[in-house]
Amino acid sequence: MITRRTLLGTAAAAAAVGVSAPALRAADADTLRFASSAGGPRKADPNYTTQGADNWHCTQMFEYLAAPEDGDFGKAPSDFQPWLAESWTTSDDAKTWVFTLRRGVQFHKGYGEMTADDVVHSFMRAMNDGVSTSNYINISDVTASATYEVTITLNNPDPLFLGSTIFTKNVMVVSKKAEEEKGEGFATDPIGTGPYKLDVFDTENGVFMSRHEDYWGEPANISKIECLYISDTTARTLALLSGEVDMIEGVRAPGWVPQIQNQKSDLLFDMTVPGSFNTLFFNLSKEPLQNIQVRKAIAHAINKQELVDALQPMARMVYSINPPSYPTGFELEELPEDLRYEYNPDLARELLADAGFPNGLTLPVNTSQREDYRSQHLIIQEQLRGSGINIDLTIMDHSAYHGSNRQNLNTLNINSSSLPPIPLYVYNNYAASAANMKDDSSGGANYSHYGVAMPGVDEKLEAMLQTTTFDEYVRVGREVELQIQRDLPMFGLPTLSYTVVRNPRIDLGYEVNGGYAYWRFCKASIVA
Amino acid sequence: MNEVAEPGNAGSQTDNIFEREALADEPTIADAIRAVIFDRLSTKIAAVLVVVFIITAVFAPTLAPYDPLSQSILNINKHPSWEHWLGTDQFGRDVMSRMIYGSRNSLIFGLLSPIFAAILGVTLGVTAGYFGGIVDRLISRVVDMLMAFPELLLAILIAAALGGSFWNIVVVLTIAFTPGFARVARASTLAVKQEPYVEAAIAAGVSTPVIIIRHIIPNILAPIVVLMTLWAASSIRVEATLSFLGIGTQPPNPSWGNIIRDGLANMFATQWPILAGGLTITVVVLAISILGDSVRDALDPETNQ
Repeated sequence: MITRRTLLGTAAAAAAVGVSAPALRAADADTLRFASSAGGPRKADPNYTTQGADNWHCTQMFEYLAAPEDGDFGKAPSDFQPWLAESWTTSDDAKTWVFTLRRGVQFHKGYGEMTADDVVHSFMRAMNDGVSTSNYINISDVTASATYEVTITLNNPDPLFLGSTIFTKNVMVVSKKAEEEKGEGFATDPIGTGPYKLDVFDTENGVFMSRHEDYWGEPANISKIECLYISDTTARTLALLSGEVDMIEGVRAPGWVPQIQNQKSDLLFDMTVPGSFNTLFFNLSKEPLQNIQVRKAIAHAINKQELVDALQPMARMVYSINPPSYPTGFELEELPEDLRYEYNPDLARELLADAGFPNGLTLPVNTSQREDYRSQHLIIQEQLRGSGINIDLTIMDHSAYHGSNRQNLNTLNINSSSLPPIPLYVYNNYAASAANMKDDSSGGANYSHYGVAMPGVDEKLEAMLQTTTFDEYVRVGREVELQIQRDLPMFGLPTLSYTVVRNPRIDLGYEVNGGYAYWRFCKASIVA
Repeated sequence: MNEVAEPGNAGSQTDNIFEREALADEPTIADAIRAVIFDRLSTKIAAVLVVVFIITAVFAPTLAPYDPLSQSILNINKHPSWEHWLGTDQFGRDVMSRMIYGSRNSLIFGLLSPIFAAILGVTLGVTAGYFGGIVDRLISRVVDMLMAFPELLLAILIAAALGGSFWNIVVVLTIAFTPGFARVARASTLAVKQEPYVEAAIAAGVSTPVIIIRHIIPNILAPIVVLMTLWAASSIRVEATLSFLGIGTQPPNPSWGNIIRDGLANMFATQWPILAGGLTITVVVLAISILGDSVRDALDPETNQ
């Protein structure tokens, strides 16, 4: 018979086991557990990932031809090191690049040695298909000039080719044989050359990987990696505090970093600087955002300093689209006075009145449940209210939010993305007419319809491609930056460091200073 | 209900006449309610709480110390102090003011939805009960169908389909609560329809609408009023749940539900929004339920004896 006392006793025992078990499991195993803030994995193929969290496992399983040291973007061509390519040469006109491949690189699960065919295949699919084709329009041809040699011909010279193209996730090398064999199934059963190979792709829980024993380089220290998905912030934080996971994607919300430090003072924070661009796109296909006065009014009504203060220590000031530390970014003093868009609610009201909205206006805006988007939109909503601009906010699921942005259903969307210090990469993704967002979501990330709904910067981007020296390239790039600032199809908000909180028992093996919002675990070790 | 559903024999007619005589000697409804409220301590407390809640909601702009939407980036996640009795949230908004303004939401939904549901439900129920036949079968089946869904599930379904604006939530709650009113109204109508005064009115040639409005509705109102008080508590609870799930009141407008939701994401910084929201919902829903129970007791002749 079950009495109340035995029932309670059993429940208490079960609770005790339930609480302590994950911690023990984590401490014993030779496993690194990382939890990101999405609902579940969608694709494990770097050319098709649309949610940032999926890049975390892709970057463990796939590799570039060349890449900078772990922990940052390559700032200059000399920062790039041989990876799957052993060496490379470039022609005098910087239009032909020849890569000599490393020999003996084995794909996962016995898919054989990597050859030029695999590399060509990987580039061709990024150019023709996938989520970032607009970034590869400068490539004219990719050919296998020998078994271990790939020749890439460009339409126009690109002095930053390594950073703009080679070190981008869409062209990470995949096994041609495996992709042809698996077809669409490749995205959930990927074959790459990276230090980890896929064990289980579980759409509910995450992606489970183990060490690739035939890896060409130094083998990974930790034998297993688990990329887990815990979208609920509180649950994810508790998982870290209890030791159930070793690293979690941080929450970029006001006051979050100090409150986590209060919980457990020895936790480590890995942060990228400057981190994610946060770009506010004015959808030029929506009334009344076609009106430059309205856009200027909104820009003047936003208090960027307050955003920086609210999101300390992750936020950094930005005065144009690119952050000041990037080649084409501007410092405040460098901008003409009328393009600084300093916070001035009275001026915003005047501009609105000039535009025919003396009593203010109301705009419906969708935002994501994810804290960084939500916090920024809520703060901006409150700031705009001060200038008579009423934002009717709908908070939606993160995927639904991106869906609404990509289907032309939003008006003032924010896009958060860790972009490299490669000006053309930024402009090609955000400002080129080729990246125009389309109603059927087949378009790119030019959410403003810049260059389509109004004349854009296509010609200047073309001119950037014609330059042969870095200085000239940057000079034209800064003209592009200024024109965007003048036309105001989009507005740069403060950047936010991508933040990962780490249990001190994990040593990453390198320091994170910048770079994309995902990093490799193969040098990590368990120190406690 | 069974007794009145099969009237028509002489015995029950006699009973009815007897009962009506007894009723005539009883105090009025208002007297009964007053007696019940002041008889029990729990009801007294509940009544006070409900009055406080209503006053808070009605005079929110006067009572709230701050603008519930106004952010203060320098004052985020503050613990309770003299300036901010319940502290501030992650945007530096005063939690107390948000709770006070949130009560308006709860009051409006707590009143509007049951009233609309009562109007809709009584119309359907009386129509079904009075006319019977195919009309009754049709309405009853639709009501049965709606009743098959738990009210919260139904509310989530509709809210997810329509999106979460103010009137959508009112519509959601109204639809969710209508079946209950329709059932009660139908059963009561069936009972009242058999009363001699209704038969007399029919015999005297009084038109159907007049019979329904003058003779049926006033006599089925008591259980409907009880139901309304009970549903008021439920609709506050369901609105909070929907807002908690993100498909109810949309931020930045405060609702007790979304104050808890926001507080949950920010739990490690300040626990006060969750505590305040959770406790308030519990207390108000409990108070209204206790009051509703007492009103039911007062209006139900059997428990009142």
